[in-house]
Amino acid sequence: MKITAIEAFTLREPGSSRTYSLLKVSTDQGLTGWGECLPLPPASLALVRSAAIGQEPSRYDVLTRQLAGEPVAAALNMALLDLYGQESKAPVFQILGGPTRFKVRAITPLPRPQDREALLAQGHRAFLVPVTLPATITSRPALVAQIAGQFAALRQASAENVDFAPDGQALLPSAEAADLAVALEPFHPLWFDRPTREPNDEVLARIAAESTTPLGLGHQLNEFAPVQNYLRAGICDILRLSIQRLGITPLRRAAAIAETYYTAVAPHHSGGPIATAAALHLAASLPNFFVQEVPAVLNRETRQFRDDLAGVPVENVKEGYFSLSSQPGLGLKINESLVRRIAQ
Amino acid sequence: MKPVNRREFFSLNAGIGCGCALLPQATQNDPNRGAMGPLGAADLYPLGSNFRITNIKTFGVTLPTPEQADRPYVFVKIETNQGVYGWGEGTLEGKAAATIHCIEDFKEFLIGADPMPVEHHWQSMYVHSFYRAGPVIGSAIAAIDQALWDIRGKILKQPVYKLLGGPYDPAGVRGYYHVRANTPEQMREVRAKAKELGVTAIKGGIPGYYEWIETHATISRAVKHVETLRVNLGEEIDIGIDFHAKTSTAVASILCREMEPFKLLFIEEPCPPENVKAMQRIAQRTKVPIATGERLVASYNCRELVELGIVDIIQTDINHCGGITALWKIGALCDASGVKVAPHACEGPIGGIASIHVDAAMPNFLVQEICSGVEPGVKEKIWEEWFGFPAMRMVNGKYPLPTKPGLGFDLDERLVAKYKFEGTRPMARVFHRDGSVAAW
Repeated sequence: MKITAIEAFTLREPGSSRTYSLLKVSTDQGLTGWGECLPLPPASLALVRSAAIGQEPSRYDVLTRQLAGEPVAAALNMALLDLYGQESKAPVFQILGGPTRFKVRAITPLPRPQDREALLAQGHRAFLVPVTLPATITSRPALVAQIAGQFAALRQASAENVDFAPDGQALLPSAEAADLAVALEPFHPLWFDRPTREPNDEVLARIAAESTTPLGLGHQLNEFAPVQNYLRAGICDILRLSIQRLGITPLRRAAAIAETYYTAVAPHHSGGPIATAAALHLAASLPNFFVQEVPAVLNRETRQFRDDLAGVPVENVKEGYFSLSSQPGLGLKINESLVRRIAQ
Repeated sequence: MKPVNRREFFSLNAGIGCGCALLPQATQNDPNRGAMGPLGAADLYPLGSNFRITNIKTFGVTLPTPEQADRPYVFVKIETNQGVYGWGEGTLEGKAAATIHCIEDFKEFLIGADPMPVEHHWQSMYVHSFYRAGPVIGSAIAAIDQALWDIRGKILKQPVYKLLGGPYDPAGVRGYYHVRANTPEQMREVRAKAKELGVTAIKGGIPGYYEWIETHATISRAVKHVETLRVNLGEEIDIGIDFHAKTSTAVASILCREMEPFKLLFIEEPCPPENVKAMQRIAQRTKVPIATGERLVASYNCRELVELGIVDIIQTDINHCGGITALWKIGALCDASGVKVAPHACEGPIGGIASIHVDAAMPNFLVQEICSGVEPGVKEKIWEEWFGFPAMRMVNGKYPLPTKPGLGFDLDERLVAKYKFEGTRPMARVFHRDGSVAAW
């Protein structure tokens, strides 16, 4: 099976501010594979075409590697695995040696405290909670107490089976981040995401030394190799590499490194449903996976769009878990006419 | 009251300690949860295949060749309910019977299970062995893992290197042979033959055994030996030199330094593998790339060598490190640090072929060993008789990639069974002049 054509589409999601690019890879056998990545610069299409047209989708790792560091590499990786799975009549996780689990734990951002009920009703049981700095000058102890108080309130208002991970969004100064990591300990947050700016290992090491709150890092990485430094420095308890930035195979390599540090991955995801599907196949192939992030969708129009785009209910969460599909490839039925209608 | 086993005892205590119900709800409802054996994988069945493992056969194989006396092969054949079967190898030098028994210990993990989720089975064998794995458990897991990948490939109708996303080089996998020459004339013959075959790399060793500190004569002899190799093999062939962990940190440091002018591809196992800092001391004193890993099991045990920047080349052996699953992960670990992978292979042909598949799918692959010379011997003829093709023989300096699904061969177990197991044979036992134990 040979790749004959590649098209790219950049979509702005109805009812949300999200934008992402989709890659459609066609073959001489009539099969098509789809992948997703960050919004693509126009030059990417020529690059991916010259690398992949005429090649076999089974060389998914080789072709992804050739484009390493380019945003399009992630989408190509997903699309090639989608094709190869279809060709082999196997779900992607099975190509990769899975399944290692039969359902996949989910986590979603909690945009505002009042959104909790709606997201619980959607089946979510774990939330990434943005840590916000007050607009006015606040003393350091008061600031930390205020943020910790928000978590105490959330914890108290929630059932035992609901969990939280504060997201520092890399905005907190180092000292406040360290104090907050300690202050959050009694509430057992799943982890503290992006406690401060990366990647000054020494600053992060101080935060890690002062607190037992697990730390999550790596959203911004465009290649997998730097995780070796995070892990060696002992500053990371959960790897947050983005599925949309890296694709499936580079994240598998990061996970293989993390496994030797007895550490798991919890891929970051703030894009569309195709990358969600890719992330679920990745999760089902890894031993050291903890949780998959999915965007919070509170708008009915957006929900409808994402479900229509994927053609199958990828993002349904029940009691805190996604279910897995055993359909070939990524298991999607992409609504191509919708893609073409919405594409910019 | 039914007797409480150790595992249940811990669950009960944990339950009391945290004040929750004595056992989780799921355990009460579902007799399969937490069970040993394939039932532990039953929850995965709806996402798996209709294939089930029905039998696991082990084969000890003693070839009539003197140089293989210490390594009767350990093969495993895993059979399924639909006629598809897979072969794997777990040959562990000097410990054949132990490995065969260890593979048999894993039967209850596997009989009745779906063969497809190889990562699940790998984790279960490694983690549920409690002690993690040394060479015996590692080699048993390796054999089973290779056989499961062979089955997976056959079910999916794909060669294993494609399932792994390769090949990086469709022309094949670069390899090296062993020099097997002592005189300058013999070395020049190897050079001519290598050139004829397109072989671009050759490995040799250093003569004799080494005490904790060595004499002027012994050090000079070793250096001279490697110099003679370089002079007679020429500049176009890459040369690896295997110290075989028979040198101490002190002696290896001197030898590595003095061999720098010979521009070696690597020096292998300059000291034993347990003390990473000792190897680091050698590495810091020389510019020669350091290679090691044939005695290491699983990616966990390679981490420190890579993390500390001690090695330039990792040489884990697919028959000991835990098979295809483990070797690929070791490759990933090394890749992030720019460390190359040159898998060791000095056992039978199944592991060698399995290794080729992983090699073809690693961006940081360097070169694949096989313990053969430039001229095939008795062993290689038997391999050809088994597989119907010259297994682990290079064409234009590369091992060709198999094209058939799975590991890419058909092997009739009757051909293997022709060479009966004559029991474990110890590896060479050598001693210094004063009778103390030496390494070889």
